[in-house]
Amino acid sequence: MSGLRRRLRISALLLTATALLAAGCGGGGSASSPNAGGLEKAELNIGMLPLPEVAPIQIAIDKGFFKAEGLTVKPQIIQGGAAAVPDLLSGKLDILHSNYVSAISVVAKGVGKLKVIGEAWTAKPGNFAIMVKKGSPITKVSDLKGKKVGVNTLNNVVTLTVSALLKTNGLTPEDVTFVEQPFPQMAGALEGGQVDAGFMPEPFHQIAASKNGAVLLAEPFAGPTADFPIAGYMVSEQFAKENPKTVAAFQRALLKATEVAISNSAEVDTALTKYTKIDKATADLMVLGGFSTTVNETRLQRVADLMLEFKYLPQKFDVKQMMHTPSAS
Amino acid sequence: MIRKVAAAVLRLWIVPVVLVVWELGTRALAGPYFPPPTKIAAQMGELWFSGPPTRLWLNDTALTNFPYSIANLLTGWVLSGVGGVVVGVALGRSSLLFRFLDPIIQFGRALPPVTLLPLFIALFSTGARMHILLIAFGIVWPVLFNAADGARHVDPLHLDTARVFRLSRVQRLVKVILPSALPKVFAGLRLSLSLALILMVIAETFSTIGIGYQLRVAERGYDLPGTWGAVILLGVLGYVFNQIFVLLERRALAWQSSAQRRT
Amino acid sequence: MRLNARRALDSPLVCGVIGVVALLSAAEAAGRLGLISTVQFPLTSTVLLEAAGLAADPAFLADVATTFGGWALGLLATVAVAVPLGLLLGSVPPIEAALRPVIEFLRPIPSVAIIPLATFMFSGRLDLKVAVILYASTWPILINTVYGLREVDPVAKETLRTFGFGPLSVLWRVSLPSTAPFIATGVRVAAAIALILAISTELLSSGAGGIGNFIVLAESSPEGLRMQVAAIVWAGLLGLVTNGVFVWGERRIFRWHTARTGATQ
Repeated sequence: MSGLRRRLRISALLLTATALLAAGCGGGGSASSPNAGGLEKAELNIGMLPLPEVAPIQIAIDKGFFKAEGLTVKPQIIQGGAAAVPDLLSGKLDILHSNYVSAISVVAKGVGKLKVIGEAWTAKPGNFAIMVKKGSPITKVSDLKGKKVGVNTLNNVVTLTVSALLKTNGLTPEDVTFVEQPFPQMAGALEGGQVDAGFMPEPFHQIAASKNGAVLLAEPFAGPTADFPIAGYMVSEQFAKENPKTVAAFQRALLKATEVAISNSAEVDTALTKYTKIDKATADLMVLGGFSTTVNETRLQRVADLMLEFKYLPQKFDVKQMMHTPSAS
Repeated sequence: MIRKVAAAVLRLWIVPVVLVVWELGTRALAGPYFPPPTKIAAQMGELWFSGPPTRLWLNDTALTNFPYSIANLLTGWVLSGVGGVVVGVALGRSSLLFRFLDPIIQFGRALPPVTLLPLFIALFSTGARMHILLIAFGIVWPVLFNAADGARHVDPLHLDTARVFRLSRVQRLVKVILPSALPKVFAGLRLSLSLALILMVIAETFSTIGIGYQLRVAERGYDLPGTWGAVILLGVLGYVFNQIFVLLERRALAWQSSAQRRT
Repeated sequence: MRLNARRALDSPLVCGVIGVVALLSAAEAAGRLGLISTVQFPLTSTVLLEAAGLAADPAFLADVATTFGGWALGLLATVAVAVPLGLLLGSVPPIEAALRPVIEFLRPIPSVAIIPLATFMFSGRLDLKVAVILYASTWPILINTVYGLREVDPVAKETLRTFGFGPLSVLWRVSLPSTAPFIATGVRVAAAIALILAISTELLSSGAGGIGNFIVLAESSPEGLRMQVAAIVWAGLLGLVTNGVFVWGERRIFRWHTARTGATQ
């Protein structure tokens, strides 16, 4: 069964190789122009979580930015970045939207080699919040000692950030208990006392505040984690090597769409209603503003260093190996 | 006796064959997603069975996670057994009650257990209580239906006899109805025991302890031998549970039929 | 008047409706009286309204169609594999004896735990769904087929054999027809399992549609729980309807069988 698949993949590779040769023989003129058929792969499956940060993908689809590059992008909604990495490595997905903590773990553990080809989000004030119930005795971060903190996933970007926040306030991660709770259930868990504080992204914390009177305890991305890079778009190293033109075309379209998203929040609101279940009124409440156009190696290294500090990684990890540097050819 | 053991061993000749084919096949493939069984076994050993022989080689990870899951599973199973028999027998004996509750029960049975998770988290938060309740709710149906079926089809002759001897309602229930429903109840209990394992894995999706959690840790950490190991562990557990159950069932039913013969 | 009430209580439909309405009202009251915080769990009326809204939502209907398509294909594949396999195992005892340990080990492996592994192995989303369904729903059909073959009247088989019919002919003329009701029951059970697995696969692995995917997507909204519960209501109803169709079909096709077993009971 799998042998057959491998054979099929090999024959697909051969086909691509012949196609490339044919394209090469046909004269480099057309191949170098971005809009012509020089793409190694025109149809891209992108795995993404239904989060606001991937709005540029929807915008690029709707505005025809991908199409102008000769790309057809098919979004696949995934349940979590971790579960989708095998899909990326096996070629089922070409591009994966994932938070950096997951992606770095994947590379550091030697599961697969990933390249960051674009950034989705950098945390800005108002994007994320640690909330407590109305009238809660917890008024500052140091009050969290011995309390239950609701997070969406353990051992990931949220717990990492909260750990950093606890440290700046003189506590350690061991001083609190992290409780997993899906975001839609977080406000209810606060209300019912199942968690004492809850980490919420937009638009959950705005709704919790306006509907249940939940109160902001702290901005999680501040101090050591201010402007923290949250998530990006990954491809496998092999994909990057074999499809440089496709990757470049994707990056151009994404950049264009991200610029639209930054300059025109109404476009984002419209996009959100298409690929998430966030309605227009809720979308209007959101601050957003974290769309990012560049992958910054220094900032990304901060993520890896923080992961090392809180033992998410066994040894130092250099993010240089994940940077995508397009070859000149 | 020796011949019996030899026959049993002979019957299992397929097991080493499968293992060897598996080993050779995965070695030939050499893909990361299909680790050979020796590698899986080694990983399982490292993850859970590196403890001292006095503790059955179970290490600390195994001792914190396995008993938790198994205790939840059995508690949920007992809970669903008691609830299923009580409601089932009531439904089997009262056709009016059955008519009232049938649509609700059919609906409850049709709900995919995985989708119940967000519901149960919202109602009971995360933790052992939620795990036990989710397991119990998800597996109650086979017991309930079988108990109802068994209680409905009691031999009319037995009921008539009970009436002749003027047995009270309680006596009738304990001496006639329950024993005659017992084989069906056991069949239901056996089915729900195997379902309990599935529900346990689902319940522990949001957990920091348990075998389901171990599976998820391996999966999230892209530890493929570990993922396979957890799946195999679950298979072994299911097998062992089933064998123990069959043994107990045989005892119980033998005792019941001999008791009936005596009376 | 009293007579009418009695007659009404004899009707399963009337009683069923009363039961459902009573339960829904109790749940609604629990929310309204503050026994269950509405922040923690939506009111019954809210959920029902949302569910009604979903019925008119083309995107959700497309999800239902996706789930249904995967379910049907998976079930067909299962029947195509499990019935012949069951017939083989049931009519050639040495093969059954040899494979039994393998089956008894594979069967208890929880299907949900298989999904992450299967995600690694199968490239297409539909392939994955069909494969997972195939794995989980094979058992009831397989086992029912094997058991059914054991129940075949030996006299009938012997009679045909003495008339010179070959083993395949005996299988076709006697064994298969008399096993059919058992197979049908197995298929009905398998259909329920297949639906559960179709939704679970959509929920646990990435994809582009299906009720499970809708539930994942709902996580993006602060009103997510309400949407999820509404989707679950539809999932339950879908299960109810498919099961009802199978029960009805079984009763129609195998009337003679139920009549016969009914007579022996």
